[in-house]
Amino acid sequence: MMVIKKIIWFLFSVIIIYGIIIILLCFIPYKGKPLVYITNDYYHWKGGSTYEKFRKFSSHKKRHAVIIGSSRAYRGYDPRIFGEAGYDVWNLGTGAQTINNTYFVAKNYITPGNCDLLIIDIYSGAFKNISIESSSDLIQNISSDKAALEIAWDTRDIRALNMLAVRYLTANENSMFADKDYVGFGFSERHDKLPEKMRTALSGNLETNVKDAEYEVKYLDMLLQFCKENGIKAVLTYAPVSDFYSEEEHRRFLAEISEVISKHSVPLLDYSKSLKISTLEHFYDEAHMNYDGVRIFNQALINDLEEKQLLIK
Amino acid sequence: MLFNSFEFLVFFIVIALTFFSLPHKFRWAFLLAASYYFYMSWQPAYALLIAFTTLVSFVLALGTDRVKSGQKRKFFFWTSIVVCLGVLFFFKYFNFFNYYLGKFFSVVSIPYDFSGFDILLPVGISFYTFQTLSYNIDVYFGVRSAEKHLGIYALYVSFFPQLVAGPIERSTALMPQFYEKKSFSLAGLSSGVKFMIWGMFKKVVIADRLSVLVNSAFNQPYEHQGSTFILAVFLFAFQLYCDFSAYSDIAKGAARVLGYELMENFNHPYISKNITEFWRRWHISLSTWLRDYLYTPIVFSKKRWGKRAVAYSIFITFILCGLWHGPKVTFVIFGFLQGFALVYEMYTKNAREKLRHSVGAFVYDHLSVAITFSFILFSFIFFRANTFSDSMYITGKIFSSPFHFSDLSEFISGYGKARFVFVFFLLILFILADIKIYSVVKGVKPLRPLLKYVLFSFIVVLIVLFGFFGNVEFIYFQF
Repeated sequence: MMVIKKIIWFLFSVIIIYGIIIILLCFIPYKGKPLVYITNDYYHWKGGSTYEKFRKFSSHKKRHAVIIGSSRAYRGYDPRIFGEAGYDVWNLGTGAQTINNTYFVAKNYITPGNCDLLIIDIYSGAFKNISIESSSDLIQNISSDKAALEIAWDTRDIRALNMLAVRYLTANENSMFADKDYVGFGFSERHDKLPEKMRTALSGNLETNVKDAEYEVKYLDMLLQFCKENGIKAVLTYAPVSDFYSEEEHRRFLAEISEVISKHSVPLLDYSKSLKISTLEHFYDEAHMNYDGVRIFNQALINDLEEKQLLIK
Repeated sequence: MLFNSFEFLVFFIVIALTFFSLPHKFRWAFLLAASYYFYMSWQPAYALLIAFTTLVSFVLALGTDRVKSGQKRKFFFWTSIVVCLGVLFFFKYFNFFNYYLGKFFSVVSIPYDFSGFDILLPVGISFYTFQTLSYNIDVYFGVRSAEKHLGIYALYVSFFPQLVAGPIERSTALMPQFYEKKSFSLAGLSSGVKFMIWGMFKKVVIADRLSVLVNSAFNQPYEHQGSTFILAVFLFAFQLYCDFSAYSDIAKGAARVLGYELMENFNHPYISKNITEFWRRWHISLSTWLRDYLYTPIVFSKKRWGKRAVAYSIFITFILCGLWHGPKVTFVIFGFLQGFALVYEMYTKNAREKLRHSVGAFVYDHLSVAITFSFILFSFIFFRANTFSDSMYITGKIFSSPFHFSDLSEFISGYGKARFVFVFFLLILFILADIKIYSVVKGVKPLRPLLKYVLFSFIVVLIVLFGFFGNVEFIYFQF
């Protein structure tokens, strides 16, 4: 009994001191932003495209498709191009979004009432077991408290719980910065090409070291199961990759997810190397296409989705 | 399963609760199973290796003990030494020596194309091998009798708190504790948890944060100038100390919660006034092991050489100490430098004493601490550099461009100036508070209960708020 009493007192004093320090860190400014942001890695500021897109996404409006995934999703699929073809589409991709966080985003935002087709951009980088970068952004900026809580808990990292505390303490604060690439509909665009110094270093060995991704594959399984149970059509897409990307890595990644794909009979559209997209002309860094590349890719994707009758007006 | 992980926290709570709820006679078996489970969370297959080493040293020690004299006794003893060292050599050093063998053959134009084995170094192999070695040596020299209980012996070799990074315990100190009936004590829990909290703070708030800066300097050495390396080596000294002493503290704390006592492995080494003192304060379990099982026997075997025997023994001991850390030339140089400093101190002891009297103790002692620390920093260049050529480059840069402040400023900006200042602030706070807090942790310095609550709650909050939770392994795991 004595032990339990002492432990409770200790925990109580930890909570009190934690509360005092986190409040101080959230309200003492440093260069216009709360001090807390300099105290740890992956503490994402409030604002940017994630902040905008989730607040503008209407859960009640029926859309032909919603795109979800990492930065390759929100920088690679332009809902305006889909709009030109007559489709109402929104992009819920966020920076470094790991597949487990994709699952929580879908679970909290996608319903049969607001989405006919869920386009899940897959990328081996999203199957790495380090989700704090993505979680920090989402916890701070996602509009749903429930989603933020689920993501923070699932991340299994104290930094995520700290970010959750910061989220609640700064709930009344406004966005601290804007993403200059953000153009609306959840999409961010870039027009520049690969920088000169990268042009001479095309290596073909960009690897994210995906292997034994059991944990991540489990979440892909849960995501596809979620779509199935809610009657939402799902398609997996692999957007074009640059010449930096390792083909061996790609094969390894597809092998990792093949079982889940067959289990759910979900189509996988692999554009990694199938389109006439040049690294020098259509990419602005190792992983992301510029707008010229996005246009080529999106038009091909719309054609294929129509052909497979996944995208229906 | 790292000490600084959520998995370990759950594992340890389950182990502690189960341990105290079991009858005494089953506890050794439970702890042994838990230790093997802990070890297998890294590389399951290598549990067979530790089991093999345990069994061989156990059986051969029994043989050594039964045969009181003669060749057979020697045979048992030397077989145990050869097998234990053979396993260590094969897994840790074979590829290193094979590489130089290949170089030698190419010089003498003999074809040799065997590039070595593709093997993963078993975690903690140097630590548990040294424990088995000390046990077999103790049995042979009659310091203790052979253990009759295989389970207890296996637990001594694999006891999970100190299995993968020490302290290197002596059988005479740890094994008898496994026979003692341990009962739960609030004082043990409280003291053990304090060690664990302080260890966690050192690991995740100081060492792991410094590791980001240190790695970025040492892993891309050709991008930096001397000023950056001076900062990086300084930070590395504290990263290494905090990382390794953190492991020892968490190990000590975890063992103490269960009622076991592990030896002290660090005693504020950077306040040492000379290198001799430094090795009495740094990695104490290794330095005392080397003193008892290597240095002293060599001195005795060469005693006719007089003082030169001591110098010879120091060099052999410290070159092997360097090599113990890993099969790299840089570690050998690190060991050699330590040996060199110790021999220098031995030969200049009287002269230094005279100097101390002439300049005054206060000035001399403070200068000694600064010079000793500077020498330690210099030797750590070789400890940390990835390759020999890197270490040469870094040393060269430190002497050729120590005041290249624009590079230093760029290096700090790359990390984030504000964040750097914050991390440096935490480090200074740690340096100022380490001795005082550690004396509270050890229970040497009395503190009012309320203050103790506040202090340790505050440290826990610092861990939660400022900890770097990037699953960074303890540096000494690689050894």
